[in-house]
Amino acid sequence: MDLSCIIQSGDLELYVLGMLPPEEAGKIEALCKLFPEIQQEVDAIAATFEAGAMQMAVTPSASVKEKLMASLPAKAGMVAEETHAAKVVEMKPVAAQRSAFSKLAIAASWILLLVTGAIAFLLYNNNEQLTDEVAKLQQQTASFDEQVAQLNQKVSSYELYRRLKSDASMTSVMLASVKPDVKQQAEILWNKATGELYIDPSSLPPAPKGKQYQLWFLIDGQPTDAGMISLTDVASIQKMKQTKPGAQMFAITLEDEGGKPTPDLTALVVAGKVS
Amino acid sequence: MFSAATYNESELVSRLTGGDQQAMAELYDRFSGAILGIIMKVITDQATAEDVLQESMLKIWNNIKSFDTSKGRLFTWMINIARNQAIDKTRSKNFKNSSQNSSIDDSVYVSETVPAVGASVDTMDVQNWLLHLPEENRQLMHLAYFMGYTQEEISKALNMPLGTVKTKIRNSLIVLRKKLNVT
Repeated sequence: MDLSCIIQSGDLELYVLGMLPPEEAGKIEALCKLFPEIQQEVDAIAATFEAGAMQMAVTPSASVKEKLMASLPAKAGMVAEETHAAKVVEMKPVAAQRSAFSKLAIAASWILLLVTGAIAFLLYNNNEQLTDEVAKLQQQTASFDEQVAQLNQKVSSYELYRRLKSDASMTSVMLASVKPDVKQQAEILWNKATGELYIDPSSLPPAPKGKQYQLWFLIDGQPTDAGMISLTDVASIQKMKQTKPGAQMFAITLEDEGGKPTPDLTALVVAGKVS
Repeated sequence: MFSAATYNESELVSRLTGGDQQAMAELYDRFSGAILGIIMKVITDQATAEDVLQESMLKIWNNIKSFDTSKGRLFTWMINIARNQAIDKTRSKNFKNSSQNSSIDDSVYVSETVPAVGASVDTMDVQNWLLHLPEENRQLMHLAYFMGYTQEEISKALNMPLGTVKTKIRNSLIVLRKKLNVT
């Protein structure tokens, strides 16, 4: 390889004088390892400039050597001395440079820390509040949904009731309490021709726990089951079992949940005759 | 020049690494003059230059472990430390306050006042190795080597293309080397 272009480039001189940027200096060092000629050249350049520097020598005052030797760390081995020296070197600037600016900077960082802390605290609190509010709103929404569902149910119940009432083929039978001092009632809407049967139990009190209202129709005093009245839907019109033709009377008994095939007359709540 | 009989570089370095203060005294005796000469190319005031010499020697003592014998020669390493220490000093606040030579233009002016080669042969300046160079190249070398300006900074300050600055500095170094070899 022709190394003369490297040798004549002037880069080796710059390298020896410490004037090359670190990455270029690294390249020269790599070249020195690869090519003994370049290493020789670098050595020659160094020797030349050293000689030049020797020519420029200026004898220092005698006091410089005394001061220098006195300032060298104690002769206890380099490791200990270095740590000692490092302490001195590092402590000085910190103490000396506690200028107005560094005090200001320290104060500023404390203020920044406090402000950041305060903001974080406020944000945390806000977040807590927001979480609470979201939970409340979710609860409200759920209760609104429930109310809307109930209203819808009521509306459709009223719709059904209005339709049945306006239907000429439907007969209305009022069932009243058998005991004169108790004001309990229910209304039957019944199609005599088809046997289609509805009940509006909204005026009945809720059934006690474990009990359920059961509807009967009577032909010639003989009761037949017309279905259980829904426990949950006491408030709305319910469609019941179809009757046989010729029902003369309707009655509601309070039975154990699930009802009975034949009624217990002592359990009679309300009754009404077909007019 | 150094006499090989009394000076063994690697032995001196290993004694310095071991914390031998006597080795430091020997190093000082051998090189302090040359190092001060380099420093005084940057800082003309001898008292200040001697402060920098002391700081540089202390730095050499503290950093001797980072000196790699395989990468270069001890003396070259030391004069680079001293030169950088001196340049740092000229850039420090205190020095700038007490010196008018802080701007690159002033530096150029100062170096222009250095006598030309022919005129200076018989003077004391004959020791100045920069005088081996043509005047323009001498300015460049002064700015680059003793003032620590980068080649880019010199290019801007002298309004000279960067490539030209680089070429002139390299050529100067090659010329210097030849002249010094002859000496």
